[in-house]
Order: sequence, then C-alpha cells, then structure tokens
Amino acid sequence: MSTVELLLSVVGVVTFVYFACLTPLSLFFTVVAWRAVIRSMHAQPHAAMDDAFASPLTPGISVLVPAYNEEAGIVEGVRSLVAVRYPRFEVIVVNDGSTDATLARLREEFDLVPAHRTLRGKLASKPVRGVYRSRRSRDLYVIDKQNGGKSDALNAGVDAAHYPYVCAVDADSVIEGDALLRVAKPILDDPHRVVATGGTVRIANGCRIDHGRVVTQGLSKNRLVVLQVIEYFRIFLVGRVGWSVLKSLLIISGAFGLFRRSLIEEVGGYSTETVGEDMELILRLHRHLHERDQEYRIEFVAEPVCWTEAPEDLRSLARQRRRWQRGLGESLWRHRRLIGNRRYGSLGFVALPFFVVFEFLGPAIEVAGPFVMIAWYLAGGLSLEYMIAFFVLSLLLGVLLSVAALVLDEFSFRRYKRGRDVGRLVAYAVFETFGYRQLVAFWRTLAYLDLARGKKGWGRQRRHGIGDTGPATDGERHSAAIQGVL
Amino acid sequence: MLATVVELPLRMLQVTSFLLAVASLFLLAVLVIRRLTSSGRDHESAEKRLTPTAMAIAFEDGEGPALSARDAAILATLLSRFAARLQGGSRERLGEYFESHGHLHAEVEKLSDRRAWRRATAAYLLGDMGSSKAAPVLVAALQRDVPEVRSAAARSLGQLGTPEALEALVAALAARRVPTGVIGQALIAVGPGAVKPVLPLLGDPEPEVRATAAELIGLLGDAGDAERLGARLEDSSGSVRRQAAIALGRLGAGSAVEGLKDALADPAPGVREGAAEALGSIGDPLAFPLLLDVASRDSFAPARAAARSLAQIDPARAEAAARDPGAGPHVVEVADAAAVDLAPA
Repeated sequence: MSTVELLLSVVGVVTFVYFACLTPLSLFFTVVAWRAVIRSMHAQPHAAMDDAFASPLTPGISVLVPAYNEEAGIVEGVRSLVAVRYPRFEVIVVNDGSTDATLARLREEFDLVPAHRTLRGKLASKPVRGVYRSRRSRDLYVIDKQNGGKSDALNAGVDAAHYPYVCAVDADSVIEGDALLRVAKPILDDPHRVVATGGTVRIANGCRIDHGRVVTQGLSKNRLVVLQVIEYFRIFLVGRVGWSVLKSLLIISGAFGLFRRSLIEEVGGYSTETVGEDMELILRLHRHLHERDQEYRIEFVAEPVCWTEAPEDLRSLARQRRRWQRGLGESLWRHRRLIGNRRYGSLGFVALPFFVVFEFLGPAIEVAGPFVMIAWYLAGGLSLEYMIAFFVLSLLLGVLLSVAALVLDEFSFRRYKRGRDVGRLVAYAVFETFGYRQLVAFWRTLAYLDLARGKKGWGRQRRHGIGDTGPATDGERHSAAIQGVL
Repeated sequence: MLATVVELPLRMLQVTSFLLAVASLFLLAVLVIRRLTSSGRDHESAEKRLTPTAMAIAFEDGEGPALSARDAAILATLLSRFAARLQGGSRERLGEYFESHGHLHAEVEKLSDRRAWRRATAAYLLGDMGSSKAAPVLVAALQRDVPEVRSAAARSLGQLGTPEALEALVAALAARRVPTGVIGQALIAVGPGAVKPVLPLLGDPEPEVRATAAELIGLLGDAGDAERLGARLEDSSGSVRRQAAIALGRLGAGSAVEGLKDALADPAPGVREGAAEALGSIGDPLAFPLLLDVASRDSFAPARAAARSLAQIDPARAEAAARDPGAGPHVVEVADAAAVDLAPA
C-alpha cells in the first residue's frame, strides 16, 4: 500500500469514527434536551413570575451593556432594557471609546447629565472619561471610557455595578419584558448554589420591533438569516439545554448572561486576552469553584430571553464564525489542564473532550471528510456504495437534528405563529445540509490559521440596527459568541 | 484488506441512514399534524369567551352555563388565575366553586401521579384554588415529595396561610427541606402571622436558618420584635449579624440605634454595610457624624451604604458635607444623585 493510500485510509477511518460517535451523541442530546424543555414547559405555570416580581427577596441586578460603535441599535436596545419588568435593577451602558455617534444618540434620547459614580476598583479597565446619568430614566447610567475591547468594557461595568448580580447584555439585542425575571428565577429559588444563568437567544431580523419590544415575530426574507435561525434553534434548544442538564454548561452567550458579581470579581473579571470571553469566563468559574470544592450550579433557561441581530451578508457571517471558532480555541487552550481531568467531573471528562473533538476539530473533519472519501474512492480503496451511504448518513443526520429542534420549538415556545414561516424553516432545515453547513465548517477551519498567527481583535461587521431603521454602519462589534454542533 | 475492514460497516451505515430518514419523516409529519390541529388560537379565543363567565363566578356569585369538558377546564384555569390574585369573599367563593365542581378533588388526586411535573402542577394549582381543605395533602407533599413538588407545595401553603400550613412551612425552613428563597417567599405570603413561629428560629443552630429568620422578621415583624433581633447583632455568623442589622432598619427600631452604631465597627464589611443602611432607614440624626466617618473612610460597600444613609437622614447636611474635600467619593456621588433627582427634567 502506498503512503497516499495509507494516509487516505487513516483519514477515512477517522472520519468514519467521528460520524459514528457524533450520530448517537447528537441523538442522545436531542432526547435529553427534549425531555428538559418539555419539563420546563410543564413547570412554567408554577414558575410564579408574579410572585418573583413582587417578592422583596428578589435580588437586585445591574444590567451591563458594553457598546462600541453601536449608534444603529443602541437606542432601541437601551429602551428595551429600561422598560424591563423587574423590581430592582439599574442599566449601565459602557461606551467603549466609540468613534461614531453612540454617546450622542444616548445623550439625545435619554437626556444624559454628568454624574459621579464611584468604581469599586476591584477590576482593572481602561480610564473612564466620564459618567452620565439619565434624567428620563432614573436607573440608567452611561460610563464613557477609553477603548479597551468588550471584556474591558464589561469589567468597567462590573466595577461600577451596585447590585449583587450583573447581567451582561449585547448593545444590539432586544430583551424580552420578563427576561430578567426568567433568568433570575433559578437564583431566587436557590440563591446559595446558583452562580450564573443564561437564556435562549433568538434572531431579531424579520421581527417587528417597536420601542424596545418585539411586537411580531416573523422570519426574515434574507436566506442567510433563516439558516441562522435554524442553527440557533439547534444550538440553544438542544445544545445548551442538553449541557445544562448534564451540569456541564460551558457557554452562556455574551448576548445575555446573569452572574453573581462577587464571583466575577473573585476570578478577576472578563479576560481581555480572548475574543471568546463569555466561554472563557464560564470555564474559569467552573475551574475556580471546582478547585474550592464548592457546591454550585450554572443554569440555562430554555425560554427565549433576548433577540439579537444576525449578519445578513456572507462576509460578515464568515468573519463572525471565524471569530467564534478562534474564541473557542483560545478558551480551550487556556484551560487545557482541565481537559480529560477527572478532578473536574463531567466537565473535564465529558464536556471539554467533546468540545475539543466535535466543536474545535470537528469542522476540519467535516470539511476534509468528503474530499478524502472521494479521493479514496478514486484511488480504488472504497466502493461507490460505501461512499454514497456515508454522504447520505451525514446529510440525514443534519436534517434530523434540525427538524427535531424545529419540532421541539413547535411543542414548546412556538414563537413563529405563521404556518408559512414554519414551512420555510422546514425547507431550509433540509436545504442547509447541502452547502451551508459545509461552508460554515470551512469558515471555522480558517480560524486555525488565525490561532496559529496569534490574531487578536474582533474584525468588522456591517450593522443595520434593529427596530427603527437606523443607518447601516461599519464597525468592530461586540457580539454573542455561540458555537456550532451542539 | 483495509477496504474489507471499511466495507464491513456499510450495512450499518445503510441501516442507520434508513432509521434517520424514517425519524426525520416522522418528525415532519408530527410537525404538520401539530400545525393543522393546533389549538393555540382556539384556546386563546375560548379564554376570551369565558372570561365574563369567570368574572361572574368570582364577583357575583354566578353559576355559569353548562360547559363542555374542554371549556370547563379552561374556565377552571382562568378562575385559578383570578383566585391567586384575590382576597376575602371572592377568593372564598372561588374556593367553594372548585370544591363543588370537583376540581379540588381532581388536583388532589393528581398529587399521587407518578410524574413529578404533574404532582408539582397540582400542588401549585391547589394553592391558587384557595381551599384550606388542600392543606393536609400539601403538607404531606412538602414533607415527602421530590424537591420540585416540595417547592410548589411550599408556595401553595403560603397562599393558603392556615395554621397547619404555617407550622409545616416553619418546620421545612428549620429542616432546610426547600430552598430558603422559596420558603421565605411562602412565609411572606402568609404575612405578619408568620412572625411568631419564625422568632424561635433566631436561635437555630444553622446560621443560614437564623439569617433567613432575621430577614423575614424584618420584612413581616414590628418594632416589638426589635429586642430579639438586636441580640442577633452579636451572633457568631456574619451573615446573621448582617441580616439582623438590615431587619432592625426595616422595622425602624429606634431602640436598636446603639447596637447598630457598634455594628459599624464590625470586622465583616457586610455587617457594617447592613448597619449603615439600617441607621439611614431609622433616620437618627445623632448617627450622622459616625456615618459620615464610615462614608469617608470605609471600604466600598459600607461606605456607599453610609453615604446613602446620610442623604436619607438629612439631604441638605449631606450636600454640605460633600463639599468638604475629605468627604470621599461616595458622599459626593450621593449628593450629586440627589441634585439630579431634584433638577427639572
């Protein structure tokens, strides 16, 4: 056997083993998540949101909004935040040295006046240029600081927060009216153990938004957005829920996550060294609490809490996915000591190895797999039937997972009311397996180059703004890091 | 040779693909059927249609027309939602309605269901229905069932507020059978009547229980409870001392001022913060100099609480103090916030 043949057969076997493991694991996750979501739907009537709202025991929350060049969507986003239904909260927008009119828009809309705000000084961040307070909305503050990146802005926010819990929210997101109550509920029920919670993020493109509220939920006409809607279904309804059930949630989306403030301070705040700061923080929390043998829980709430703007063009999407993958790689590398380490329980032994194989290395196998199969076939090492069977299996697995996520939403939250929208989603769930998934996997493999080159920074994305049509802007953006397979 | 090894799983691949295809088609069929037969919109319109009937039953002692089984179930859900928000005659009337129409009995039966979520939903609804007859079964659920059901039962016992319910809730708090947040909220729903049985828990061996008891007494009690709470300012646990201080402030206990002033020198910052907050709530002008000292020199949380208390006690004096360069940033922040609040928008 020649070297080429040997190489082909090794890669071929790896690909086969990869899919042989991924198939049952994905199906297992779908079943676990299905059970959990349906259970949470049953529990919804006795979630007692009104009791939580009225309770004097409900903890105060400081909502932190890092904003860099967010003039297009900042006003709508902040409007949705100040109107949220929660008994004790404040909103702190951190203007991270924007070079556009972010601050001016806020000043105009919310009647900002200069104010004093003492920072705790526990977390370092770039110098603060000024603090403003709204005269229109009592609990709205704006911290204007020198540019230092999303993590730096969040650290400044945590340092200025007055309440015992902080909720990091993306500036371009629109929050559900009950979002804070929903994510705070696990903390209210078990304040000693629950240290962080996150909720489902959905795509706002196509929804009608008025005064910071999602009025009607529709599906965007943009095909790329519809494909992302299905991806979000899979990632949140199946992946996050599944990992949360297995007590190994590794990511709480940067677009919406609630944390115990003192704990963020203890672990030294958000890392400014990675673009996957949301995953990195969760890993650090897990590690910190495990090493101190503390009993804790990081919970995921399946209900939609937040709507975010998805990229509408290929270039922005490619950049976003490449960045997410880079963030994943950086976080895994930084916490490599945990991988496969029994001391960290299911986190070290199950979740992290899974992320290394299926989330980090997976895209490369998915991209290389088909080519290797074809080459192997051409070299005569593989029969046509086998090659076809392999392709059919990988495609069908994708279709099944997407359709299962759609059906799960239909049985639970049912946010898309129009039958036409659901029909389109089903069609795209089938269609995405032919090209889109492979394209995303390809973009993600490009991140290996970025990692090898030690690339830093966020890249640029074309912004449109959600809700009231704002001008499109080009700029570096702060965004939710979410990941792919599960 | 290798080819043979790889060919082996061909059958497996084909079978798996077939199964995946069948599962996908099945799910698609489920989705379509669900969409076509979905009762989401019908349910909403039935709720709208039945709302006047529900209101008649709740407020006018009406009986309502004979209904189909489905409508009767929707009506019962509507009524339980009403009942959860009502007090007095209307709530009693609804309790009787649930009893006489068999809804109460049906939910009690569900407490023996094998599925935990069903038992939890039943436990929750029994609280909304407001019939004290449900108390014994809920007490049993609180004592024996899984955590999810125990929490729902605790919440419902708080809604019912009968002596039996109260006793069970206090026992559950002492035994830490239900998360303190849930039980605390249930006892708050009971109201001031919960204070008397909670008072002995101030001497519980568990700090978490003592702290929750102090917090609840602060929320539900009156100045008469200040003495027992005041003694907890000397507790060995910092979280108990903190909750006792905050509770004394909530009760406006003038008699506790000296103890609270001493607590401003507590080694735990959280206790100093609680004491500073309490002194502001009590509003004793004599505490002003001491609070100003804490506001200027202490660490972040106590200093901030002290500064806020200064503004609460005497806003004009706090503003004057802020002009002193040694006042510290917290006093300046508080004076500044007061000025923004007062300015015309």
